[in-house]
Amino acid sequence: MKDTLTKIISHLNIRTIIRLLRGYQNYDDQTFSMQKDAYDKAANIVRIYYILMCFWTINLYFVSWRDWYGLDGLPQPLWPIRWLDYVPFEAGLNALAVASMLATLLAALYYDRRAFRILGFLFVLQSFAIPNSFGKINHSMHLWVAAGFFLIFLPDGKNSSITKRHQYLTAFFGTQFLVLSFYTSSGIWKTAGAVIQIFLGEIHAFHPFGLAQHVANRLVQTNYESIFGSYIIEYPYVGWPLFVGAILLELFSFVVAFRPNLHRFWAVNILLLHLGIWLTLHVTFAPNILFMLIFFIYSPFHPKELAIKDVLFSMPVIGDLLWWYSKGNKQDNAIPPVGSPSPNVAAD
Amino acid sequence: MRYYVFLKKFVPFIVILYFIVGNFTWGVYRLEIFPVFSWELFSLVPNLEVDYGLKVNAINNEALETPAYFQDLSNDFSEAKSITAFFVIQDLGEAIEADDNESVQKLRHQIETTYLSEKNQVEYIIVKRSYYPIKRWRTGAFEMEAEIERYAN
Repeated sequence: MKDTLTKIISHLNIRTIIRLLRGYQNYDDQTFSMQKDAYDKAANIVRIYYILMCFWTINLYFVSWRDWYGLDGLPQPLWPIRWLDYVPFEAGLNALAVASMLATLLAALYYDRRAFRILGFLFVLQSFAIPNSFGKINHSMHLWVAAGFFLIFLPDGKNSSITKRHQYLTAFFGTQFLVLSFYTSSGIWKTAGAVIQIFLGEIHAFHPFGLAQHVANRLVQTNYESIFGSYIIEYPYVGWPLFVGAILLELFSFVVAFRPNLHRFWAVNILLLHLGIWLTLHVTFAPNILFMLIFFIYSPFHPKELAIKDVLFSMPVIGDLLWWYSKGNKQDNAIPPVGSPSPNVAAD
Repeated sequence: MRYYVFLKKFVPFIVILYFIVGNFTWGVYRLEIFPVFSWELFSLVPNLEVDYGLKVNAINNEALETPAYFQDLSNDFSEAKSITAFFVIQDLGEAIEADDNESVQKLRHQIETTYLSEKNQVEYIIVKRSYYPIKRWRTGAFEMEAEIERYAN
């Protein structure tokens, strides 16, 4: 046992970890052979991202500028807009609104130039800090803002060479990886919380009443009636597998960044997760849904041909076990029967 | 190629850094450095919940027949069902209990100018309460309700 552990630890290097994270692959370095295709798709997604970021920013001011105008300052300003405390509030707000709309428009027009991407990011960071400066930070735009940071590191220009495209796709992968790690972080908190509550003898996230308790609590906090909230409270066993499934989906999300076979499958499930959260808890994460649709449903790394078996073998843990089991079986079958000549001998 | 080597190290570095900073600042200080966050959402299932509520006693010098919680007064206040209002009320309750007068004044000002400003005069109390979520959702019953401060704007 000790020897096996020592052997495993001695083999544990970055390369092995990445190989484990990548798991089953039904293609031979397909990303490389189809690099041009993947790059074209990624560049399109980046273009769409900056167009939508411009839209989100303009929409933010459309909806709230007038309301903020009457304030004498923000109650609890976040760090990117602390400077508004040191200038006349209305003048500062007006300047920020106009500059942000202009900066994101320029980023949408010149998304292939880093200077404009940096400019866009800096103003997006400040703009979306405003609605979060009222005492509660809402997380619905975090994905979009954080993605803007990684996209700064895309190489500039037309990227016609293989090396440049490779750099482009690596920075793009970074954005996908970062976003999926958010879901994993959420899954880790829920699992850790459940373990603590199990030891305390409380109702926990894996308990049949876990989701019902969450839903009831959220609805009484705001006296809101969500569409399926009361149904989940009355029939908690309906919500139980959904909540456990949601936690597992979140927990293993980061692995999916390394498994293009699952990009679409996972995005559809995360989309359903957000839809379920809205239907039961009345918490809207519409921007996350849009992000998933663009960055993962249309993922540049998604293989052109994909069988159900490929998706199944790519699933974290269960898929890995199935794949290893099936590999083992194939190897067993490949062993020639005792007494039969080896291939080399046959060739002789 | 040198830039590719940089990216190969930079990508995991940033993802890990975000994870550590987000979880450390939130886990230890309950602090968010926007846009970094731990993504701790709905991690603990509410059992016996303890929180604060804003109960309105009188509006425009007229006493309500029965004092009512802010979230139940959507006919009088357009932001009554706002989750941000709920969290600001929690902050006020905590500040009162911690005797943090500066925060109390700031939060009162925010509540009275943002959420209660649709009425000229509102008398309200901050209540500490405990409840079981499903029981409260079904019956409206609390296990405990205690007034901790009384205000009028």
